[in-house]
Amino acid sequence: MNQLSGSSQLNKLLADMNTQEGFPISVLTDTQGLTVAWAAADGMDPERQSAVVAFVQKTAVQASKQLGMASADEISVFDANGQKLVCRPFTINNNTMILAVMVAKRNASYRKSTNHVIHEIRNIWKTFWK
Amino acid sequence: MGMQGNLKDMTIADLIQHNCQDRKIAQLRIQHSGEEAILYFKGGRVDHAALGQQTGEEVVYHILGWEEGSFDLESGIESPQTSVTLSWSALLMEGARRLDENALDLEPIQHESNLRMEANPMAIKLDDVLKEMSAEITGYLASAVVGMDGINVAAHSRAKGVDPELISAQMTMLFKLVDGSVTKLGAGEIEDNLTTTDNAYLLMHFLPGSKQYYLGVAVDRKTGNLGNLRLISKMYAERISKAMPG
Amino acid sequence: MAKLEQIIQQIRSELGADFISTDIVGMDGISIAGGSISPDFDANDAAARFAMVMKLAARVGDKVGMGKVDDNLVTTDKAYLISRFIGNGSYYWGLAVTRNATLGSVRIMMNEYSDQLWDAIPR
Repeated sequence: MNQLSGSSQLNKLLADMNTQEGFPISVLTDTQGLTVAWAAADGMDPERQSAVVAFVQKTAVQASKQLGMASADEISVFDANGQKLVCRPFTINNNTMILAVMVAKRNASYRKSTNHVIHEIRNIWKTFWK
Repeated sequence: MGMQGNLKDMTIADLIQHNCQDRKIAQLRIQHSGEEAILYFKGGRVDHAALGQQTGEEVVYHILGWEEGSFDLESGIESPQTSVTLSWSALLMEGARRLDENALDLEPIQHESNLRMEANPMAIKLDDVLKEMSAEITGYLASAVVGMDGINVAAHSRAKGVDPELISAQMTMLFKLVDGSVTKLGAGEIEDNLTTTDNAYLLMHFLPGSKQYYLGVAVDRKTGNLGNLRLISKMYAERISKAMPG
Repeated sequence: MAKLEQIIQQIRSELGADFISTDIVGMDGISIAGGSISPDFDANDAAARFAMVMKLAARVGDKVGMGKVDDNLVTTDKAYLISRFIGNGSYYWGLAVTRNATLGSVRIMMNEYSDQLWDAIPR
């Protein structure tokens, strides 16, 4: 039997993903930009990350609406060094959440691992917070 | 000023309840089969409990099974330390549950308890819900379901030195002032109030469909997450509201 | 005072359509700068009321042993109302934004502007 609470499992899930994929920071945030769960290397700021992620998500939603596009399931912001902020919005039980990871290495993969984490978040939510 | 008596006339649960409700500073010595337990009351709580080398909540759970013996109650004797953090009601609930489950180690378990304490089923259920919620909130310190009269309906605490009753009384004053101000400003219907201090986040969230009760949660500032706090509090406020009578 | 009003203008620009009102308020409840864009929101009344809220919050924080109060956030169905002590606590910064605002961003913005506002208050 798993002894960890739902919240602890979320934090561990993100920490494990960071370790496997080499992400310096990942956050699970609400649409208000407040952190629900996070895992980060020293010196990273999950609070700031969450706020920015929600801001990016909000802008993307407005852009999609104006262009008549369906909702995005991924929004990425690239910098000149090839570093990427990847935001994956999804909905559980009428709550819109955003999983965001910083992909530090150019061309590093993230899609499979973030898909897996979103799937696991849904399982944790169903188990602990239905 | 003191009082002496026999456990056949007044149970330990009754002694705990009365001294806590009266908010006495007092020392209670209880003698049973050659052993002596000492409880200290302060600020509406059991502050310290000792039996031989053992201290804390486990002592209380153990002695709640003592049906025979005598006691000495002395007012005004201060507690030498704090070893108990749960509210008196939570202590008695947990003690009753353990007696029922025969979970005590130090003494042969009695299958029939003659505790005369009447457990409030609603309080047991709400205490359980708060305990469950405590595991889900990162940096959790304490929580309570509070009436707008400032009295706890249920409370739970993990942190030493945190007095849920004192916090609830103070926070209710603040919440009432905030609610009144928001109403007079026409700024909408209040959902929650979050106070950030050096050391903590203090969240007060009205139970859905009612402004008679709120869920109060205290979280450590350094280790808590605001998103986690608001999300989990909102979920549990809905659960708690369904568990409330009426 | 001009410097203070200039900073307040910057804050209003950053918040855009989410902005409702902002004031720098002495603990006597009197606003020294700012204002509301909404005719439905009485900024002077809010300033006075939330000065009382912040005074009580400070006393409560002290009594429950949770430390000095930094800020108080009220969530209503229409708005977020944030009151934050600045400088030595002789003033607070009150900010009202719509529910559409990104709260995390607003909090970070308030962290960044607090010291500037305090420095700009004429003393």
